[in-house]
Amino acid sequence: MSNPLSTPVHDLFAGDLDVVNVGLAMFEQDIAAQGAKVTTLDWTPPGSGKPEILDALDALESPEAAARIEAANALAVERIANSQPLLTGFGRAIDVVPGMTPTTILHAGPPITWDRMAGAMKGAVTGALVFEGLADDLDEAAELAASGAITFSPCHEHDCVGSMAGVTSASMYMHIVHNETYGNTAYTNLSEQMAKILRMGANDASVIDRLIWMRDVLGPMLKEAMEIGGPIDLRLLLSQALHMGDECHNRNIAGTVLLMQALAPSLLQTGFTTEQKKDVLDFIAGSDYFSGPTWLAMAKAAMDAAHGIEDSAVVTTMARNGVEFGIRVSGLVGNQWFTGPAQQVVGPMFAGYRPEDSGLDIGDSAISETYGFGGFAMATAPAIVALVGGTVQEAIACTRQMGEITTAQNPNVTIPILDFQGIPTGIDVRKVLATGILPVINTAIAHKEAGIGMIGAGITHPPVEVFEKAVLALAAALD
Amino acid sequence: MSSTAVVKKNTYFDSVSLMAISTKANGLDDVEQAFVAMGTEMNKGVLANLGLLTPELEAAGNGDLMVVVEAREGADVDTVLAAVEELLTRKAPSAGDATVTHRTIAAAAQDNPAANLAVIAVNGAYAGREARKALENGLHVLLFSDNVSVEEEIALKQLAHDKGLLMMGPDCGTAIINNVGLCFANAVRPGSVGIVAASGTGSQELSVRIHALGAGVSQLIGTGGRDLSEEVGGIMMIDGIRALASDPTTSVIVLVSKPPAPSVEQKVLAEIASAGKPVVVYFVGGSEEAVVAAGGHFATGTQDAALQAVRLGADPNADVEPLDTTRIDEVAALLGPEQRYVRGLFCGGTLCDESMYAMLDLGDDVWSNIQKDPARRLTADSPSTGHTFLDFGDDDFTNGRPHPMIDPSLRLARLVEEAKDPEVALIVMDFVLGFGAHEDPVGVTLPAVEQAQQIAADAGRHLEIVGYVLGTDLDTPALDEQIAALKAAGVTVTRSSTETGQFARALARKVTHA
Amino acid sequence: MVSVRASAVLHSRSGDAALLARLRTLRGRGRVDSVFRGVLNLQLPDGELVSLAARGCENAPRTLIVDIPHWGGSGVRPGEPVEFAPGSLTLPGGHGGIRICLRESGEWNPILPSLDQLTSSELSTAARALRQATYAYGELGGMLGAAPTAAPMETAVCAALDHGRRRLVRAVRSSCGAPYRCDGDAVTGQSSPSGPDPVRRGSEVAPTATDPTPREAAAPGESSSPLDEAVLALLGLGPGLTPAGDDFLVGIAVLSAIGGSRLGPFARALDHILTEHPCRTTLLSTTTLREALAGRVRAPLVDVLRSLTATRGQSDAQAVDTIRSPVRRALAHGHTSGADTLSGLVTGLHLEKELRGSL
Repeated sequence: MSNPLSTPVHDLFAGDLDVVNVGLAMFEQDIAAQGAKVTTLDWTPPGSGKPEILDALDALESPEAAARIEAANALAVERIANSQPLLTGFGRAIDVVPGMTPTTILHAGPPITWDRMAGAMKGAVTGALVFEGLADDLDEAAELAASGAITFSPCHEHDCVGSMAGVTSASMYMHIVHNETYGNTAYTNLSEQMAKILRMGANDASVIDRLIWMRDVLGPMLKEAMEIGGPIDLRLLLSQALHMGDECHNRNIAGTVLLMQALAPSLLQTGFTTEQKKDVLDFIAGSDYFSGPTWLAMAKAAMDAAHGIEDSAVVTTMARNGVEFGIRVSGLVGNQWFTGPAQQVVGPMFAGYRPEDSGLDIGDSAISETYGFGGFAMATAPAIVALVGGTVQEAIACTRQMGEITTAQNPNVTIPILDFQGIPTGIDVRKVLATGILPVINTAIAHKEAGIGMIGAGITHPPVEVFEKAVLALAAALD
Repeated sequence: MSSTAVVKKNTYFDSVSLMAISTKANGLDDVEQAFVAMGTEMNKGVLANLGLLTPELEAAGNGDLMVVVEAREGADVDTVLAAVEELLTRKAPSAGDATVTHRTIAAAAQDNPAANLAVIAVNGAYAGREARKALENGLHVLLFSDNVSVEEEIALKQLAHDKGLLMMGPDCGTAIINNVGLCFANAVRPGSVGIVAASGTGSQELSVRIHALGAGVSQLIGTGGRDLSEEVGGIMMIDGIRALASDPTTSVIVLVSKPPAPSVEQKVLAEIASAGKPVVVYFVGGSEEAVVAAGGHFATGTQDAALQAVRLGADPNADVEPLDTTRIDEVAALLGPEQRYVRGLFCGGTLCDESMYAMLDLGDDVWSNIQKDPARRLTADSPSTGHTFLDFGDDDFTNGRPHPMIDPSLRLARLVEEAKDPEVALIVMDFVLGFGAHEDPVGVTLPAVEQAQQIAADAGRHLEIVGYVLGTDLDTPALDEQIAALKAAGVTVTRSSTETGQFARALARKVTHA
Repeated sequence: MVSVRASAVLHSRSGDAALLARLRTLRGRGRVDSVFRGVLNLQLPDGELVSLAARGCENAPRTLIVDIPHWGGSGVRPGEPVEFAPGSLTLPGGHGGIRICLRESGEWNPILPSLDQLTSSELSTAARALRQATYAYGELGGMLGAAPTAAPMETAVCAALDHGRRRLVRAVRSSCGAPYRCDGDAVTGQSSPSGPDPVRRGSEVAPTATDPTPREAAAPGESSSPLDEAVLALLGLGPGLTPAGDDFLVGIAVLSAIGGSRLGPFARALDHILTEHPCRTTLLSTTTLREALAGRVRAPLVDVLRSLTATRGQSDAQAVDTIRSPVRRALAHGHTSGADTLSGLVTGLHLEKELRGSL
């Protein structure tokens, strides 16, 4: 019903007044008392009120720049949503990961040198060096790590992601996830299941023994099973898992069952002994987390396809190394990291541990939130709402709030309780600063010291600096 | 210590919940301390030693949970108990209640396509940006904030103009859209008089006078005080006139403002000529010829503007009673020979202006913080002299304080000061009711009024105080109660802003020429 | 449409062997006593209390671990009847009730280590290490003293608890024939350089000479011994679902049940008081204390006791490392309950050592 004579002023005078109230709450009451509809914003000064950030935001929001950015962002989220990542196989890092060498150690987060690494990462690095046979014991491994003979490099710069410490060495088995739509591939290593594990910084004999078994039995069996069974559509499984109450970052029970369902027939047909097969099945049943890394590689495959689109303000990477939090932005091509200090993770701790025991935020697993699940999909996971305050309502509000800093909803991955609206997708650095809303990240808590492991789970946020730096760089790139 | 307690019979909480309840109870505003424990003999013994054992606690059994609360001095015990009780029974709200509070205008507008207007009152450094966001999202804007640069104002108004949207402000304090008063406005009935105003209290007075004449307001569009300046060029006033010209409900248009810059006046008057509806113009202190030449109706004051508008658009027989001069004669007789001057203490800028211009008819011994003549301009610190009219809503006075309509303290202090001046014959004040204003502007002033009267009486003088209450019978607090309270305190009450000026002028003429 | 009333079947994963033996033959109707998220407490037909703990809880006396994530939303309410039949029990709630099958339940036996192989000085080391770890990781508010910001009521209760501890120590010493003295070990709380502020937190075994003789908590009984009165001064005292004083007594009680313990007179006094004054504290506390006297405590406490025996021959610092992990798990019980019980163990160990020295 469009009246050719209608103007915005006619529409205003002819319709019901519906007010957005910004700044002074006292006006809301008066307006509501007169029977008009009014919504008061939870307003904070944009860009934390910093003039240089406001200037950069203004520059990016000029009509000409905004039009270019909107178009580029639309393309970025289209590529995220249209990506169809398939699990195609498993293989040793040395055989499949680009740039991998026998003396390379990949790690989570932005680049970092040995001397600056967090306790959990150091623990994982020394454990991995022992596992690879490059050192006889942890002390020797620490010396080797410090000697300069080892190449440290971020997972993200090798098409990989690594959960928690993310430490990935040559003979570890990797998921191989192929983006069917755009042709790129992503990798991540296998879940170690327990709490006392390498990725959490633990490195005693039980940890190394498990890694050896994973290298010799679990990895090869999964590899063979995939060769028998063929590719698995991970986006489909992810979206089913979300419908079953996972948010696929801190809750993985449904996703693991689904993945297991897909793998089981081919695992059965592999040439391993029944005893070995039972060990593998027991191992998978040992923790709901088995599919956790799988979703990270899935997200990585999609996010890499959206990286490098000129002018796009969409975040394609959020990753932490336990010391720094780093992001990459689609329009700022290549490996440009914008970093700030890693934050504390707040949440329930295992018995006997206290907040002061926890290491800072660590891991590439925030690729989940970058894609739109994990903390962004809290509304799908009523079972773990304790992480965000304890009520389903808070979980729903959390997902809705993430809608304010994202570009679109992913129609391929939906949330039943929100009438099947898509997960919030494509974090826009401009929106983060304009709203003052930081992305929410669900994550595990590792002990701050090497060798102990996981001690809790909770939520955290990136430091605001990373977005400020990115916005300044985007504004500078406009000229 | 005044303690009180809740005993939960055979009610169980796990220890973590129990701890949470204890922590939350200790965090309640009116709670001095709270303690949660089982009702065992030993625990009751400790409470007895502390003098906290009430009969209720005494009766608690070893399986019962005791919640012992010591309320703060002066706190209402029942309220505290109710709050503790709620902690014990609180249930999480269900998912269905989930509502989202938006952080940005864009998100609010996208979530609610029916939203059509933004009211923005944030620090001036951010105000322009928020207004632009609102316009870009298709919302009309009322920008209450000031301290927005003139360049930004022009850019916003140009953007709004291009999009066909209203950009009311910056520094716009009053509007009535679809009979809903926004910010500082009065409750008036709907009607056929449309108003475009660069002045907040001027437009409030107009709307109130129109209501008092039995007519009503279709729309009241604010422009912000700087709209008719050379730089801004009256963009919003012209768009406002056009909006009302094409609005079928509006039958007559009233403009109220300080006199525009000459080039802008021409543009505005040209717009009047082509409006197709009668336009009444009140440019405070402005001249008649150009308005009449453009086919407009010139008004000499707010009352005249309201009267002409109602006669042209609603009721040809509308009229107001003339000023009653008997009171002026009475007052003149009470005054001593030294008492020659009028002091006006105003919240409303236009009300101050209107009385000041009335006084300027008598001569130029008129001083004010809003005087056009720089030689007779006063600052907030300068003492009164001759006839003085102060606008307490001007930046010079507000400087970091709330508007006097909300915080009257400066004006009250000044009232007492003026009463000490033996040359003062008359103090004139306005009292603004309505949305956004003080909840009882007369009540908060009366103690100072009594003090002023006492000071004069102690010095053997009569001090005449005149008050005008700007408001309608629909406003809160009730207009007639405010008037009755003033009268009871011996204050002479005038019936409009215009009459207030007339009263002051008539009395001043009488005492200076007597 | 026919409404089908199917009962849900849950399995018990493990449970107290003594309880399982009893339930295998028990028939009758009991009731639900209380419902928490992690634990359901039931009364057996004879009124005795047993617990059904959710998956992830630790084994404990009179407790079955049931394969359910938690009891929230199970619909079970206090006061409702529970049907006991050989090999299973049936709770109300759900549609048609929840049947808990015991057939596959593993049997748990709390086996206490012997402390005989520890020398007196090793007992002291173990006690000091336990004390240090308990203060390092435990919650204030009960036996460890009031938090610095505590309100007057909490402070008063903590003072009463501290007072009760001193009185008990004195009574145990005299009734068990310990020499009336205090050595360096016994005042660990005040001499340990890394220990907390003794004024705020009190000490496990305080010098007796400065103690006032308390009268206000005298027991209602007529012929009570000083030891009886000392137990009564702690029983049912303090915050929490199991009052802190009771948890403290549990710590001493379990030590008294270890073979060769010199704390026999304390055990007899506690048993006497529980029989003579059944209403001094909650049913849950009474039950837990009785079990502790029989040497039956929750699994994490058993682990703490085992780790204490492993400190043999270690330095203080090594000993703290040895017991840290089990101590943390034991502390995770309740809010201050874990700390209160461990505090009782510390006091009990000191007393054990002193009494041993007296022979």
